[in-house]
Amino acid sequence: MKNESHISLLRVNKSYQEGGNVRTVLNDMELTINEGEMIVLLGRSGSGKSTLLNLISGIDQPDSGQINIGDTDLAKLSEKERTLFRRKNIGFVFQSFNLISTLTAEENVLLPLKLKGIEDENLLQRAGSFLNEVGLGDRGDSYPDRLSGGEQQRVAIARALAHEPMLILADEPTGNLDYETGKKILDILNKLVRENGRTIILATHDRDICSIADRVVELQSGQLHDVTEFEGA
Amino acid sequence: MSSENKDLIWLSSLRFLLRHPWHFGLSILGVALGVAVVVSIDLSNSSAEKAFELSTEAVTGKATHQIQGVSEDLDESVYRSVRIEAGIRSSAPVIEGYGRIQGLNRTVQVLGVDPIAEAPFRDFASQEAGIDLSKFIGGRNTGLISQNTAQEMEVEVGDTLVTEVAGVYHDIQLIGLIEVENERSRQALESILLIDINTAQRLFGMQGQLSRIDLIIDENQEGTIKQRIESVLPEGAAIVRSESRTETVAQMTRAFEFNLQALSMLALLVGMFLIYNTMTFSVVQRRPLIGRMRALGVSRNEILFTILKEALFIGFLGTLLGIIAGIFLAQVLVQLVTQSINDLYFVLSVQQLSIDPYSITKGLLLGLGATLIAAYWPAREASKAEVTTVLKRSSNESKILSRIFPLAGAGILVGSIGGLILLVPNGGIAAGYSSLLFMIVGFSLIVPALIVGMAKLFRPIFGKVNGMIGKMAVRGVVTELSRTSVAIAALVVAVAATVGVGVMVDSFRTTVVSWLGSQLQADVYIQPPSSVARTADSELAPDLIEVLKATKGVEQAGSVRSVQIRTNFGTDNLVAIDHGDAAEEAYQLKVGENAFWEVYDTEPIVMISEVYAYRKNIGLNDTLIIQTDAGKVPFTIKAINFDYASDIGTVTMNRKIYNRYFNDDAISGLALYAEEDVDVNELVNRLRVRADGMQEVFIRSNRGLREASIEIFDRTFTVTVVLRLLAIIVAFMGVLSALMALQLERSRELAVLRANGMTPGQLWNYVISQTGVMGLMAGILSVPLGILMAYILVYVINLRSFGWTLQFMITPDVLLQAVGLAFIAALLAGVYPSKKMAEANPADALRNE
Amino acid sequence: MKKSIWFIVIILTVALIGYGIWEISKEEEIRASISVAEAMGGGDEEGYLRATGPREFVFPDDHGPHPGFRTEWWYYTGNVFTKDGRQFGYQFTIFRSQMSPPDSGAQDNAFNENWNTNHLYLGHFAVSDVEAEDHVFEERYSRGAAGLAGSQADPHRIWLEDWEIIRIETESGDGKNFTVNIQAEMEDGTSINFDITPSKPLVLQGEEGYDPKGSEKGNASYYLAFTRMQTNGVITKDGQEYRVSGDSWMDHEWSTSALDEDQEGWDWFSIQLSNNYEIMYYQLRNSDGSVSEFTNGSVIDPDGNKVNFDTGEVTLEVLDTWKSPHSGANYPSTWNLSIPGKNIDLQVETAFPDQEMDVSVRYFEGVLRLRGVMNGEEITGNGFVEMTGYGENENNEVR
Repeated sequence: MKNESHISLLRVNKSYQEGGNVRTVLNDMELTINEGEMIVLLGRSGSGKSTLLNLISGIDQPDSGQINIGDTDLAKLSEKERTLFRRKNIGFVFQSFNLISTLTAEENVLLPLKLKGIEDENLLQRAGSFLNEVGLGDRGDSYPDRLSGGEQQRVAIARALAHEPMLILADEPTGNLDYETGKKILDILNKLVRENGRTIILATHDRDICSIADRVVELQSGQLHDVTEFEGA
Repeated sequence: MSSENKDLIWLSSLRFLLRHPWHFGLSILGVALGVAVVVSIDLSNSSAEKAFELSTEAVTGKATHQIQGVSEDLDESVYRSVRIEAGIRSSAPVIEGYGRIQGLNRTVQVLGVDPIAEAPFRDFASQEAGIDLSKFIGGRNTGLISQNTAQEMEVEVGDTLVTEVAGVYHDIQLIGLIEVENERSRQALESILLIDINTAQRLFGMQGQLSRIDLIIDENQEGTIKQRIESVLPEGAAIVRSESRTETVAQMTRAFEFNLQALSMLALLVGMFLIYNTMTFSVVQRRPLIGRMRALGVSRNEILFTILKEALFIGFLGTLLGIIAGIFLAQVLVQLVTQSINDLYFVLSVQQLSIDPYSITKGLLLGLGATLIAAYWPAREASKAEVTTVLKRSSNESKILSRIFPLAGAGILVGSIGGLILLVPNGGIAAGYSSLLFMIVGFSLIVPALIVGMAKLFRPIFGKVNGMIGKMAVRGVVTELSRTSVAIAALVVAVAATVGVGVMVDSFRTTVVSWLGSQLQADVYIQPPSSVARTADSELAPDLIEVLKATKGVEQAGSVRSVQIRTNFGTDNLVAIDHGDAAEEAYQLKVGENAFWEVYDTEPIVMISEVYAYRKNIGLNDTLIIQTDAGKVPFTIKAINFDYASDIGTVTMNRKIYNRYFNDDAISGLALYAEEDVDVNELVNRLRVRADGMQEVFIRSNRGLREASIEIFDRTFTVTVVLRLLAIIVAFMGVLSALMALQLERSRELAVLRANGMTPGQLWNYVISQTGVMGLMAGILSVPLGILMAYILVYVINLRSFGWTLQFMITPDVLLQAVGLAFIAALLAGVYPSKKMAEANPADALRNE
Repeated sequence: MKKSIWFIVIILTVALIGYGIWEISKEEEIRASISVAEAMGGGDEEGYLRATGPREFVFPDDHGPHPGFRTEWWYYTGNVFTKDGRQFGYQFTIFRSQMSPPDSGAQDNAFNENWNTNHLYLGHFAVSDVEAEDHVFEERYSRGAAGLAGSQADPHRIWLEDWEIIRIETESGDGKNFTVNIQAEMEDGTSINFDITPSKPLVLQGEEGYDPKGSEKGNASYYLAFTRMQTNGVITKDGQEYRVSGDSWMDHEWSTSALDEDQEGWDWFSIQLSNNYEIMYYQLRNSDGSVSEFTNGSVIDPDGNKVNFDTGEVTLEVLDTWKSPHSGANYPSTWNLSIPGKNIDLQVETAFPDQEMDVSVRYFEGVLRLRGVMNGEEITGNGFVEMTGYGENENNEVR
């Protein structure tokens, strides 16, 4: 189903109450993303990146506007519907606390598959193959506390992809990693995403990442602007 | 390995629990203890009930009705009239009583029968069962016991059983054994001594009398047959259904058992705090994790159910453990319960615990139910956890701090509802306990607010005592309020219960002691051993009475006669007194003019105890109709007295009046007044010497009797001591669990402190101080709650259960003990966690994740 | 979610099973029986009084009980007829059984109101409805105390609860010879209420009332009888009352004896002939089926004079038998009885087959019908036969 705009946000508004003040985070924001695109969302902490991610994933609801993912306008769904939508169609890579500490690597990757309700005898195989893709095929039985930071992120990536979601959201995926490891992670992410033709929004404050993106946008004053110039580290 | 079917979310929960064995273990233990207490009391009560049922069944057999005399006995000629004149062939004469056989550790029911008539009633007693009639009926003392009992006593057919009945010893030859055919029969017959009517008349001194006549009346012909029988019955004899008689006796212990059950629930209630604590802890620990899972698309309900499933898992394990422990605990408690029933109500022997599935199921449901209720709030909180894509470091502390006032408000509301419940008319004991429950819960909700308030007061004080660390310790209680408030609340409830029950028992005891002091006016009291400690159901041998009265040093003698009578309210206790002038001083009247004493030896008036007045709902100037040997006679109630000896109620009248209406010369107890300058103890010894070889009796000085009575009283309340202790242990575990949780959560914070130079010793000080503060707060808070509980126990529950007026008695030591208890419990609970915290390597904690 | 379902299932199953067990255990009644060690059986006959030889009888005393002797009975049988000739036979016996010897230390209260007693009373009451060929019977027990059962000589009264034999004062009665009233009712309503007056003087059976039964000394009884007694009254059967009259026979025996080792029972006949003679004959039977030497017979003439006859002088031939469906025993049912020395030859048969008494001891007690010849005259008669000890042996060789 190749849509003209795989993902589109139209006239989205979101503000918060903080003490006595009202802080407007998103102001008539617009964004369109095509299928298979890799978008990097730039911004410092507190700039509203997280808010945007929350809205796109259905974790939160805008004050007004449309959030279209595929055929569905998330803004019109109930909390439960958004949760179910999210589990079937979105893959997440977080900055930290990525993995469920009480499940093995393999089980972590298996989780979204089970949540999606895929009844397939080959579930385990599928999980295994994704682990392989990230180079951890032999570490399937290890618990996260036995894995290094980089290894954990790799498992996270495998998990994010395993259930073949429409959209992948990565929130500062390299934020807790050293430079070398971070680079490796990005490579894997890039490769897998491109190979599988997934759409991905990557939120970060690190400008070096921008080089792998198709597009780079930045949130300013509640609205998104394209960023064309950026320097490498 | 098909991991296809793995429920990953549940798996992750399970592993989380297993990774925190302390919490897991303590929660299970907490539930287990709570359930154990409830189950053990339930089993004790039901074992006692079953033993009572069985023993009654053995003795009642298939009789549908019984003919009873006016008071204790029935003339034996009535049997002839019924059987031959009225032609009622399904009739059997019975003499029933209690005795003790040397070599057997329990009281036996002595059943005197005519085996020839027994076939339709009790097949084990029938001639057709094989009794050797020539030996049984023949005129010597012979009898049968069950085979199992004979084995227990290691006796054989032909041996002599030395049996004591009402203080007199008799040799009874064992001429046969009752062989039982099933387990139920074995239990029912294990305390029966079967003898012939003629032997029974000899043993009980009942020549010419029977205890009753059993009948089997077909319900279709009940009317005509009863008429036929009644036409030959003498004045005062009546036909009663055997069921109702059993029911009346069983009723006696209802209130007692209900109160025990309610107390047992206390331990479970405290256990619920423990569960709440643990589930909250597990939720808070995984808050970020839960947030992530929600981000991955796990729904709110799935989170809710997962947490509830975890709780259920803990609850299930705890309940199972609790049921097993409860069964063991019941072995101990059943003896205490049985002893109390024996002391207060009727003869009962429970040789073994009867584990009835109903109690077990009840325990199961309670354990699981309590767990679910306690876990519901944390589970709900968890499901509402913020879904987040970003690590959020702040805990939920801010939440509870902002909620203390709404919580307190809710608490006041709940507490008020509790108060309102008390106003419901005819609420009964159940309403009393519900109200108590509401007040406890209400108070618990106010606890966080009170802690914050107390912290403000404590900080400067502790600062002076312990310096900066002291201040930090106090502050720490507030910053971790969600954790500490629950632990403190648990401790408060448990200790308050100790205070409450303790105050009630003290009040009771004080009242009883002072009542005994004025009630017992004579110097020496004599009565034959009675099967139920509290009632005097035997008679003193007349020749012994003469001997005792004539003893040197005795100036005056008074007597009492204690019998069962039938009134318009059913079967009641009557005491006929002959005390002379001393009576007026001995009896404390609640209501009634002193005019009562002036005419009570001439007019048909009675005095009733306040319990009697409460139970039957009658009062001054009402009429009591008593079935006497001279027919149904109305007596006017002209006084109501305080009486703590019986929770069933007593009717008292003058002996002269009694003699007017009853053909009974016997005396149940003698009260002797010593001459001036006579040493009472010497007199007692003299009396004992003179009584030697005659009927065996208790000869006690005034003081001796008082002490014996109080001993029974104390014995009755031993059970409550056990229960209170168990509640405290559960609370202790609650505090321990809370502190362990704290330790885990603050490891980072404490590591920072250590890294900044705090020594292990100082850290220890900090943590112990904090626990001490928590204990102190709990202790202080337990006082008002405890007094409230005591108030309700004394003025509502006790009143509605029994009808007694008690002097409310709060001694400072009870309160000080409470505070001390809470303080020490908390400190003890703090030792291990403090040690762990002090020894923890700061580096470990500071490392990320 | 599947796991939770399992939880619930397990809990429910446990609860249900538990409940089931509970219910089942509730069903059990209290059931027990008595075992008495063998050692408790004492000697049977030590210490009791025994009949050792003839003695003087005193009346009314000797019509009453004889405590000290182990067994005693007052036995009444009779054949009564309605106006229409419908025949009923009845048997009413009260037994006194002494449970321990007189000096055993146990108290002996034959008629005291206490519950203490040495005596057990047993009652057998049976009615044979000849027309309907129906035989009903009942057995009762009581201890002889508390007024429940007892026997006394003056005034003569033998009773077991509401079954009673009591002397009625009449003008012609005296201590030896008086009228009694017998009243008895069964559970099903069958009852008799008869006034019975002796038509002939008292007969002292055997040797002046001393009747040896076995080879051992002391194995004998004292035996008094009224062989013909005028009977009037009411008999109720199946809810119907019948006015009847006829003749009864009374036996009063007391003894402390048992059958010899090799004796298994007896056959006993009481016959009232149409010519106003009566015949009493009994024979003990040995275990091997042969007739014991201990027999006794007497013929009583219309004036009441008794003439004994012994074994050699009588022939009793069994002509037919009846097998009881209740016990499987083969009872004789038809005989030929001939006493040549008295010119008596009779055909005797039971009025109908099943008159077996199925009580604690099994025996046959039934109405007899007979006809025959005596002193050349054709005669008929009624009577009773009592047969005991059948059914024990397989091969009941009957002579």
